[in-house]
Amino acid sequence: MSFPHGQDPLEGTGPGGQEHTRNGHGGPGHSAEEEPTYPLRGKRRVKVVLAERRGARRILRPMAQLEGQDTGIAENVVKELVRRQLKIALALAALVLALYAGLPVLFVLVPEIGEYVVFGIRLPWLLVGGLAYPFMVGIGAIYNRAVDRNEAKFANQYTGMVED
Amino acid sequence: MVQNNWALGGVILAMALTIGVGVYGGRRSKTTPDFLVASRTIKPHANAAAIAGEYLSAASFLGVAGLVFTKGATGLWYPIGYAGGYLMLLLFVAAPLRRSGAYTVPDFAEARLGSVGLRRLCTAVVVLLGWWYLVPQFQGAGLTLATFTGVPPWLGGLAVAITVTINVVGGGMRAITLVQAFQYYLKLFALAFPAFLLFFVFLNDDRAEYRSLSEPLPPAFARETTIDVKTAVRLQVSQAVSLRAKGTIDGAPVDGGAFWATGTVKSVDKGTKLIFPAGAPVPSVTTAAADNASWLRPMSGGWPQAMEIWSLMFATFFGTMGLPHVLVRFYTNPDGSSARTTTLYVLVLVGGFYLFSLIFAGLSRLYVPELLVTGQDNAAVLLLPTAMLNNWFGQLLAALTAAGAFAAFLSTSSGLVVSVAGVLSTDVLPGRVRDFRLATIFASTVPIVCALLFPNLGAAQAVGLALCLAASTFCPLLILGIWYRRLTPFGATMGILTGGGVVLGSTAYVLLTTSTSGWVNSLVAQPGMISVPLSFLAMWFFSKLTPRSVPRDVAQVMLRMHAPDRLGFTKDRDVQRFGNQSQPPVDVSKRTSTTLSGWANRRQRK
Repeated sequence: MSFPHGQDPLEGTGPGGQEHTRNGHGGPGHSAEEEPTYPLRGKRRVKVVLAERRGARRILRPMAQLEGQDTGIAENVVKELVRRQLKIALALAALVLALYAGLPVLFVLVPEIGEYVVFGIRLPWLLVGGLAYPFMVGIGAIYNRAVDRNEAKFANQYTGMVED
Repeated sequence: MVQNNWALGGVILAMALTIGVGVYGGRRSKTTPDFLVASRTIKPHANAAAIAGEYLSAASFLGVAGLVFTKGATGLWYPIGYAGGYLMLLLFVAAPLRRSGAYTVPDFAEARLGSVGLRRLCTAVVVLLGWWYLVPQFQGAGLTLATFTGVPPWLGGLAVAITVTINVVGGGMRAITLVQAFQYYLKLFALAFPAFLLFFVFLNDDRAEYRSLSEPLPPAFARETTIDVKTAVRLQVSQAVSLRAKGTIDGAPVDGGAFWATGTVKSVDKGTKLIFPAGAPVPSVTTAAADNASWLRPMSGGWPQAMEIWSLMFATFFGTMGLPHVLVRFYTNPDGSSARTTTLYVLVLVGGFYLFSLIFAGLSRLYVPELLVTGQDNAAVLLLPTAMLNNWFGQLLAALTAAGAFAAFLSTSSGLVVSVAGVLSTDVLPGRVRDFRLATIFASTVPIVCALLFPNLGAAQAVGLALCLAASTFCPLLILGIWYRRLTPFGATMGILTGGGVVLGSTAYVLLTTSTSGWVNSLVAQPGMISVPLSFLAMWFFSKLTPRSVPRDVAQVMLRMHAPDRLGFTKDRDVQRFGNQSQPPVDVSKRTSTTLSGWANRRQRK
């Protein structure tokens, strides 16, 4: 409230005690404007957020809470999330690396495998030249689904934590 | 020659379209975040096309087909490595990097570890990497244009540099995003359409002189072929051949008939002319698979070849995520999960592209075997259309592939210039739009001058070593920065210095020595297998030594990087520092009110 002294049109009606009237009048008016929108906004966000794309623009109440005093809780919860996400990433990376670093060994040790013909195409050409790409896309899709699930779990846990 | 004009036309068209698309895409670029990260508004499908457009450099457009053409099934691992780098990026880096809110790699380092010194070091590495990569791009553009149009080699590089500078100066990241997305589809069309048509030509080609690809014999010349050897080559003769030659072979002057016995290796000097009769078996450079059967079989070279593939996979799987021009595209996503979606789309786009390269590789083995003699396997994509269709239509297809190759040089260079300019303008200059434009001109001038002054710098090896440098510096920084909470600024600095030092040292060794054999040399030429683990180890070890300097806000930063987007933890550091309103770039008073970083403020006032 930064009205210059006596300039507020709403204040003019008060006969005396200008300072008091302004506070008495402006206080409720202020909360009447802000109070209903604040929880509403919070609720709307919690529900629609999954469909929203512009994450960067939103400033949520939870952020202030967790980034301020509650960092101890946040630290533990996030540690758990990081560990789970890393586990998925490492497992899938190990699978891909083992497969594509292991195939050369196989082809050196058992060269005959390279002569097999499947669907009219030599096996190595089919495996390394063709199927490798859908395979990697599949690994990527599996990863995205798994980490999204973890994140949803974290978000539920977290919003529960904040609302309590 | 008619072909020259067609190809030159294709290249000029690609260049004009690039500038046009860039001007259109960059018309609304006004603020610093626009220029740096396109204000983080690029949706996954567009961003994926832009990333793929940038990533499919000439090394992919021309190189993959060329590698498979010479090395056969073993060469199939190269595109696997290129695509696999993106899978690793998706698994370990994409979403957390975006959520960190950083706008450059140095900014990530500061956001995570709070050290201005480390930020400076990262700035230096980005600029070094960017220029190291740009020089071969400019040189390659020049050489490619020169080989099939006859213009002088400096012209192509200069044309690429100027085109890229115009686009980046005009619209920054907004312009480049649209340009690169457009260039992905241009490249895809320029490869897929000829591949499709040429494959049908092949199916209807019933001439008998082409040898089946599965025979244990080398490819054969379909007609009498004259080859001018322009750089000295060593040729392996896997089947005896009679030919006529004029020049120097094995150190002795030759003029007239010659007979090369089975199993011999011939050194042919520069300027020698070789004339092979029709049906003669093709001798090939020693790095290529000599006969078709070993071409079809992977790892026909045994363990050394397997080692080569492993070090390749090491460099590409870990190097891709450390390339500043690859990373800079990830900051443009709206949020973390769209960064993941983007990466998945990239895998689809890049993988699909490589399938067409394989068609070119196989057909080149049949129709342009003379490239095995000269070792110019990168020319296969450009020369195949006219070798198969000797009419105006073949020339049209050749013009299309030429345009695609040029688009490849343009898109990769633009990504590199944007990333170097972004870092220079925000870390060396105060980061106004004007500074970004100035930095762009500087960022492209230095490498083009280098490319013009040192035309004989080993371009092909330079790219491999640059990838190694990225894998040994930024890859550990990002992976440990994102997943290891006890990383300290000192540890990160030591890791970068160790990994970078090993790569730079071995580069110096390669440049200074002339011997090219022995396992020491092959290890030094591909130092990734040593430098990458060493860099990880150094980061871990020196972080352990300095446990007290773990940043205090590490829990908050970890939370920001890993928490789901919808919780809204992400703070875009570019918006914090530069504001997001369109405002005249010189108006300091307005900007300081929206800038939160005191450090940035102090710099701006100076």
